[in-house]
Amino acid sequence: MKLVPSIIYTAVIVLLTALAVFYAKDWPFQARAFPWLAGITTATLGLLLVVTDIRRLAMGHRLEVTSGQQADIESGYDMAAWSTYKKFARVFGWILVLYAGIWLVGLRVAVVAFFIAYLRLEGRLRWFLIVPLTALMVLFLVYFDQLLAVHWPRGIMGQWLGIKWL
Amino acid sequence: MLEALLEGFIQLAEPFRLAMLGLGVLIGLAVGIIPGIGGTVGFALVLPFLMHFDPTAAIAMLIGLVAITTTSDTITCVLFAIPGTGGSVATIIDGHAMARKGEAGEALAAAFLASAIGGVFGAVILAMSIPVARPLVLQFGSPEFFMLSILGISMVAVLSGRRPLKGLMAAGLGLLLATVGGAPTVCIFRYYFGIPYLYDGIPLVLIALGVFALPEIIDLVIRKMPVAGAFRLGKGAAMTGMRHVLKEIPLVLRCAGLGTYIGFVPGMGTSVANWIGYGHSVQSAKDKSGFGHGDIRGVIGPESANNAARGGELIPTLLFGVPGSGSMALFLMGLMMFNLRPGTDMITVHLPLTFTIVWSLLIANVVGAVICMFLARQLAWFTTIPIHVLAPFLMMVVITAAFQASRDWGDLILLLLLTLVGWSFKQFGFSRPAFIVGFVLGGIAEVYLWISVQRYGMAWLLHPWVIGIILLMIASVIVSIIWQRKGQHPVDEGGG
Repeated sequence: MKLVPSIIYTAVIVLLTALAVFYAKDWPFQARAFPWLAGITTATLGLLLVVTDIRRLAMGHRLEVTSGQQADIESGYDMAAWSTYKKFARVFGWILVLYAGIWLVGLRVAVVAFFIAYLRLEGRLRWFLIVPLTALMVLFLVYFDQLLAVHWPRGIMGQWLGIKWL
Repeated sequence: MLEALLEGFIQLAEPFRLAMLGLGVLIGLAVGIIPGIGGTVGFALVLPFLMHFDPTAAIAMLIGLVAITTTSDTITCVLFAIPGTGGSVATIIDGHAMARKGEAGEALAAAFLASAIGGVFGAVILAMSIPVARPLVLQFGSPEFFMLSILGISMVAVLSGRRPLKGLMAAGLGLLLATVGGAPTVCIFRYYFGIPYLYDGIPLVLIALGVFALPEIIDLVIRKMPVAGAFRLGKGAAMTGMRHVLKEIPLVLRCAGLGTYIGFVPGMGTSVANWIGYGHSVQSAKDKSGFGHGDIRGVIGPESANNAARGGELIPTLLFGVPGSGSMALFLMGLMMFNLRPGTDMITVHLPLTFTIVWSLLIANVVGAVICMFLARQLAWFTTIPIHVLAPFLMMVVITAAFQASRDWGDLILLLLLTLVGWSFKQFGFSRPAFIVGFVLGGIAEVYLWISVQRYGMAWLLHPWVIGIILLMIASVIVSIIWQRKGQHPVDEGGG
């Protein structure tokens, strides 16, 4: 990880944590003690990290120092690359489109439309594949609905038109 | 104790509960085999749907799921050199080398049998540790459990990330986020910003889905995973593989012992157990020349270790409320969803349920290995599904699951925000397991703290076990930092 983006990100976390600590200042002691303990510790550690990294930057280093051990799942790509941000924005954009659809027509219809659109535009699949895959998706939705009694967010169109399943 | 052991089995033996265990195994097989998904994400996906089920059945399903991911993840390791989960990376070295020599079937059969033996070993150790730990746990009160929570958080924070400071920060942020909602000791709502949705705090399942599940799906799309092509298993190799395991039983058991111990230490987990198992296999071999070129011991050792680690992880999780890994933190989340407090309750009032967990782990490992043995070819097919087909399906599951938390649009909005947090944490090296452990334990830790203060004043800090745990915590943090500094290098590979 390159130092500059890491420093900026850590600094933002320190700022947000400091704001959380400040926000709690008027609470009774028993309410603010634990948030302050967690917040002040986190902000202090963050400041230490930022200072350490800025010193490394001043010495001419450009990369973080790490232990090389990571128990979390690895990304496998370069976070600093602009293309990574663009790809993330693209995928996140699709999720926002799905959300807009859920808000409009409810999850059941939105998810089917999203599925078809995603397979066609991102997956570039042909219709003879999209149709059976979508049918499989609909079966899965029916399973969720009938067997697990799952609750679905309703869309505003369903509320305006008085259609219960929308 | 024996009665509870038997009662645990009888409780599990009901057809519906066995079916749920079986379903958990099948889901675990699927998520273990798809690279990038794994037990933690699998937990996050199924947890929201289990809230209205019988607790025993739901917990059996969760155990079935998590027990088996370290068995099925071997398939992609051997066939495609792609780790199904982080707990199988070391297996690739000799496993994939065997596949290149046309011995994939042999490698897989050996891996499955070694996994089953390792998993059963871990379950047995878990069962045996209950009567041993019971007197100790019963001596513990709120001060000791508070310190154990802090110990667990600090160890996971320091061990599970590339930089200990970032791990500790992530844990601190998790603790801070856990304070949203009603304060436990005074009548005040914290950090709700006038939004009624936040009165009850942040739903546990949203943390799991937003911080783990959706960021992993996004990452799969960005990386265009999974990437897998044609594969050959070969015929008649299964018996050969299993014979190798029986010949190397001492190695299997030693690695299982190591794996159980590693799993017991918070922050280590199956990935470390996998590597330790491989390292021991190499070190203990008289002839080391075959390792790296398709030595079956390089498959047997790590696979036994990583399955045994699951049993080890459950010991601190169930008995002390200290989750050893991200997936155990989510399992702890599942227990709390059913109002099951780890620690004293799990070895007294809910002792039969604890043994149900042991039996579930044991049965899941055996059943899962048998299924893998017969269905390896079919399971491997999952890895050839293009991500652009899998991603929208998984997104639908995640979003539906998130909505079950409070059935409010707040769930979906929070999911988005937590996804941004989870994805950026991953990219910038902040440990998500530490964050989740901090969040899960934060609420419990605060309650224990205030009970301790109210009962003992500040004298609780002088309790012998409290002092012992504080010293252990300081020692483990220092040792971990020194150990990690020895392995320091600038990041210029993988992970950003």
